[in-house]
Amino acid sequence: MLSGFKSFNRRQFLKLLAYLACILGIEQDGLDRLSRIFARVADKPRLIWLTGTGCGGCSLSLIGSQRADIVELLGRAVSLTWHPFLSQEANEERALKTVFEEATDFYLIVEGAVSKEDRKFSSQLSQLASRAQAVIAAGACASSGGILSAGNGSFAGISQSGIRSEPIRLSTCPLHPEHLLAVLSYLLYYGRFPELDNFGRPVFLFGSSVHESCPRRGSYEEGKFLKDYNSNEEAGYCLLLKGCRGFEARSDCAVRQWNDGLNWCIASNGGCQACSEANFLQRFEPFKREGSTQIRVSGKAAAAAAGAVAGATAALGAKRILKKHECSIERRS
Amino acid sequence: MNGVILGPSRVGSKIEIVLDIEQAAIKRARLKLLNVRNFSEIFKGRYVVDAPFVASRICGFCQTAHQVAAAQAVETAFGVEIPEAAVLIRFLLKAVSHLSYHLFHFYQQALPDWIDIKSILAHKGSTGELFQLKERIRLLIESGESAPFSADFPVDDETIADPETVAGLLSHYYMALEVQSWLAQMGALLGGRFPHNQSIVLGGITAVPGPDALYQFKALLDKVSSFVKKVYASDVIALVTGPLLESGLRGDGVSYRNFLAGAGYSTSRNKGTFVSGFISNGKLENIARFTPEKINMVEGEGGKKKNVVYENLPVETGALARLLVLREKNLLKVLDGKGIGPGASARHLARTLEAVLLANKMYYWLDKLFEELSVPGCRVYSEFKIRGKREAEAIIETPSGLAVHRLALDNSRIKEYLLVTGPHWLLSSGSNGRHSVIEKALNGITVDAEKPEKMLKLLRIIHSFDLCACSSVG
Repeated sequence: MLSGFKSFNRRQFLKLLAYLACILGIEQDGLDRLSRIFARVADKPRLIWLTGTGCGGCSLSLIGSQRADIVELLGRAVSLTWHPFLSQEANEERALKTVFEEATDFYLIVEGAVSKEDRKFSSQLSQLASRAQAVIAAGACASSGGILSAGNGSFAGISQSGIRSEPIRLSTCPLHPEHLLAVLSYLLYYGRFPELDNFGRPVFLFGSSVHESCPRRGSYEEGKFLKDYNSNEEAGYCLLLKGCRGFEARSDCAVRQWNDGLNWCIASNGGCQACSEANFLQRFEPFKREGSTQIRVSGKAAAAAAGAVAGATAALGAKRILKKHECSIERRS
Repeated sequence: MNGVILGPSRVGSKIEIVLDIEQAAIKRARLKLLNVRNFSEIFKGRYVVDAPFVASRICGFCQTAHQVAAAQAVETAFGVEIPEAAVLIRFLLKAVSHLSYHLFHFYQQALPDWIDIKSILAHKGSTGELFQLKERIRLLIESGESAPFSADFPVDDETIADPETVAGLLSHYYMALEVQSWLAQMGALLGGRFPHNQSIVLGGITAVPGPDALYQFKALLDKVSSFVKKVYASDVIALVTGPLLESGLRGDGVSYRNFLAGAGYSTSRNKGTFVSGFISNGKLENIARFTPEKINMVEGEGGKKKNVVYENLPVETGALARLLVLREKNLLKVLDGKGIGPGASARHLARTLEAVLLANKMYYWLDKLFEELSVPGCRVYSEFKIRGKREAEAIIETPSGLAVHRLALDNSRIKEYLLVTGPHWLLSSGSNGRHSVIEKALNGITVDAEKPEKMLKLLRIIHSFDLCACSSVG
């Protein structure tokens, strides 16, 4: 533990590379090249982290990650030229001077929403964004305004602020650290953008709904729903009646889980709040239900989710599920 | 020279400090918050059941305390007592984020002001881990990429330059980052994930944790607690009584000397770990009773949005206030014994001693939780119906200070939500005062805006305060 850098030995490094190779779909003959990306000392591409307005949770999420370790792993692949919470240099302008002077090889990561009143930040953002190799919106606030978009309309995600290139959105609240690791590795390994969905999220991370790979999907199919948090018998039952939004959320949380694969929202009975979706608070509230009788499904996902419920129940011949729990599906546009 | 603008990094929210400098000293400092997030507006009209989830987003660092505050306010308004096991799980989760906050505050936010990374190059050893660290940093400096440190960071005559001390502190800087991942894992074990826990809901907690999760939690707590006691506490005590002693004796960062603390980690059934009380004008032995009615929002100069005072005085809350009111003996021993004023050094020391105290307390809570969960039919959740119009309030200690959550609800919806956070106290100046708590601490400091090394003193004071994202909420 005294090594100064995280206790990170060869074995753990190889394990992480294998993990990354799986996410990125790299075959055995590519492993060597992947490992070289993470074994540089000098001439690393720069990483510039800008913060707009937010709670700082995305940075903390990254700092608290063992797999996507910002110093030991990311720090081997890129040079963290500027991070407002971490840089020793206390003066942002001085730190970014060289970047502004010479358009260099850098990736721009933005955390937090953009305030419509903050012209200084908007202009800094658009100047840097126009020169960056890629712009990554880290977390919900940078992606769509997140929880701040529910206020008086003075905050928005970064693409509505006039930046030239569309950002790659890693849209969960907070940022999933392994999503950032995966996307940076993708950019460094393939040298091109990953395929993005309509919301600008990488399809290889956000391509399927949480429900699709949910470990509790079996109990959903069987019509077993959790009703009492205290119950031992109901442990592991589907959280639909408690307000879970796994149908509508697109993210690989069910596979990746959180905090180095230790736990995640659904395993803790907290349910999914669809935090990966634009403006998730306004669209998916309330997140919790007390023995509710209605499942409200909003927007575009309505048809799909309605189909999923109807399909699943019909497949089982199980209208009784809906009847039993007095669920009804109400469409909301 | 008037209007020198400083936008320091390593604080949790975006701030700007405007300085009027006269004869090489700060005549007047004005701290401005950039981009205030109006949470009262965000909360308005939302579902009451979601209050904890929204409250978590007030601050990524004090998240759990705000989440619990929102839940506790509504539960109290409906007279709901949540099961003891849920109380204990909430305490443990809050303590996890509390430790995470203190460690980050010291190693990542404050320490870089005091060290010169280049000093490690004179480290004498030729084997071992500190030598490896030195070699690694040498390569980084040579390639011009020593981030997050900078080889040309300014130094002054108080910068720590002893190679062995710097080597040790740097290695602890990186270890502290690893400890953050252990804490995040502890948060995930009981909270579903970290940051922004998922298991805290109105009425308690969403799941009865299994014994495997609790044993894993305990194993991580062992590692964290050992770091806190053997590394963090000894680092801070050695610094405060060593290289930082001059600064402490000068009283750097001392402000109004009014300290207010609430009863942290308490419920109606559990006596608080921290006690409430009020110290005015530096009379540390004289602890007055804390009366919540004396908290007031007043109109400040220039119509500042938040100007929150106690007995119409600007006060400081947070770890130093909590431990002074608690009369924590180790803190008083160092402060009295060395003659260190209740300023910047004292704040660092108080956070450290509080972390030790909390780490010990976590073992106690965990033992109690094991006991609770061994009873058959143990509950973690009490269901209740949210009906009618209510006023709800919780006054709660967060890592960055005393917070107030006050809300009005009408059936399932939130009508109004008023928030006071720890940093709000520091940004308030009282009804007659011109200077907020932080501004007052900066006045008179010798600086030179042309010379970065002459601004270090100022940075060190700013980085002793709690300026997490809680600062920038309305």
